[in-house]
Amino acid sequence: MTTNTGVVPSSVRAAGLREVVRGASAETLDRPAGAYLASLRWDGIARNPDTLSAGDFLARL
Amino acid sequence: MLDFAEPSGTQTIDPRNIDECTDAELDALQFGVIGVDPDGEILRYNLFESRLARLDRNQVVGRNFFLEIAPCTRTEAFEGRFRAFVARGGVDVDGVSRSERFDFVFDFRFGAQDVGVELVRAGSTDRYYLLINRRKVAGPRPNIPEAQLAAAQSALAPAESSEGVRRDTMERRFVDAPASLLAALRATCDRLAPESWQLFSLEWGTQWGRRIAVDLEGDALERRGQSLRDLPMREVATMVAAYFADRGWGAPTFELSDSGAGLVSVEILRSATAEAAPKRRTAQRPDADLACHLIAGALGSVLTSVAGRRLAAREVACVCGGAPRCTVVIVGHERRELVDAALRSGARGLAPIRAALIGAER
Repeated sequence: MTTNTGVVPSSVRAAGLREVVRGASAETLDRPAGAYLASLRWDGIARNPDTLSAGDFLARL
Repeated sequence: MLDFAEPSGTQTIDPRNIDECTDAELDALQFGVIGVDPDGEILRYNLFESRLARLDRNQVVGRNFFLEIAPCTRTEAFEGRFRAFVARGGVDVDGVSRSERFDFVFDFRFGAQDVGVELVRAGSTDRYYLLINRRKVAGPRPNIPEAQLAAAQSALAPAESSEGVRRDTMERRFVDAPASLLAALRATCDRLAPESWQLFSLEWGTQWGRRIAVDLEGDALERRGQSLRDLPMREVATMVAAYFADRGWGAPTFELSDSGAGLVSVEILRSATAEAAPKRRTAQRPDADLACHLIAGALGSVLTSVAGRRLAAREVACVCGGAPRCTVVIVGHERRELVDAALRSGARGLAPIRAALIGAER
C-alpha cells in the first residue's frame, strides 16, 4: 500500500476544532443542511413593501 | 482596486451533452463519469469517480474499464449490456432512447457500492459514457473472488511512493506544501498581476471549492451513508470547517445569526493566506488589506453545492489589514455587486457590509 501520512478525511478530526458554528438554534442546526441553506433568502428581503410579508414588514420598522 | 468580475458559477448538465463538458465541468459533478470507446478503453474519468473508486485518473485513463479497472463488471448485466448498447448504435433495447439505465453493485477491496448506471452515447461519435450514481456504500461483500474485485491504486502504480508520489488514506495524491509557497504565490501575483490577482484568487478558490464539495460528498456517502445535503447543518459545518483546519488553512467559524436576511458570514482564525500576505496598505494599493479571496471562493463554492443555489463569497475584513479576524460573507449571487460596491467604497468588516446589503433593500 502507498497509503501514508496523517492526512485523513475531514469528519475524523473535527473534534479538535473549538467552535464551528454560531448564531443558530439547536433545532436549526439539526435540520438537513441542504434544506436549511436552500430555505434562506439569499436574494435578500423584497424591496417592494407591497410584496413584504407581515413579519418582514414589522421587522423593518 | 477591488473589482470582481464574474467568477465561474454553477452549471447543470444534460447527460446527452456530457461529451461537450470540459474536464473541469465534469470534476464539479457529484456523480461518477467514465468516458470510454466502444471497446471499453477509458478516455475520461471525473473527480467524483476517482474519489469513490479511490483510483487516480492518471493511472486509469488509457486502460480498459472492463478488463483492467473493474473486473466485477465482466458480467452480462454490465459488460454484456454495454456491448449490446454499442452494437445497437447507442440506443436502448426499445430503440427509442439514447440512454439506458440499470442497477449494479461494484465490488472494491474497501467495500461494495450499490449504484445506478446510465449508459449514454456522445452524439454521433464513437464515445460512450457511464454515469454512475452511488446509492449506498457499504463494507466488502463476503466471498467475492479476488479476480473480480476492482483494481486498487497500489496495483496500478506499485512503485509510485519511490517516484515522489504521496497519497492520503483515500488514495488522493497530495502535495505537502509549506506556507512559504503561499507567500511566494502572493509575491508573484503582486508583481505580475497587481490589478487582477484578487479575481484570480477568487476563481481559483471557486474551482477548488467545487472539488472540496466532491471530496466532502464522498466522505458523507462513505461515513454516513447520506448525501452531504441530507446531513444536519451542524455536521456539515463541522466537516467543512475541519476540511480547512485539518489542512492548515486556519479555522473557520460559521455565523448564522444573519441567515434570516440571506447573509452567512464565516470568521477564519489564523488564515494561512492572510498570514502569508504582506502587511501593508498604500495609497496606490488600498485593497491590499484583503488577502483571503482563495479561501472565500472555496467556501462559497462548497455552500453553493450544499444549497443547490448559486452563492457568492467575499472577504470583507482581514488580519493582514489590521482586522481582528478574517471575515468572509456569503450572499446570493445576485447580491454580490452590493458587497463589491461597498468594498470598493472602503467598507470593511461585517457591520458596514450588512448595512449596505439591508440598506439597499429598504
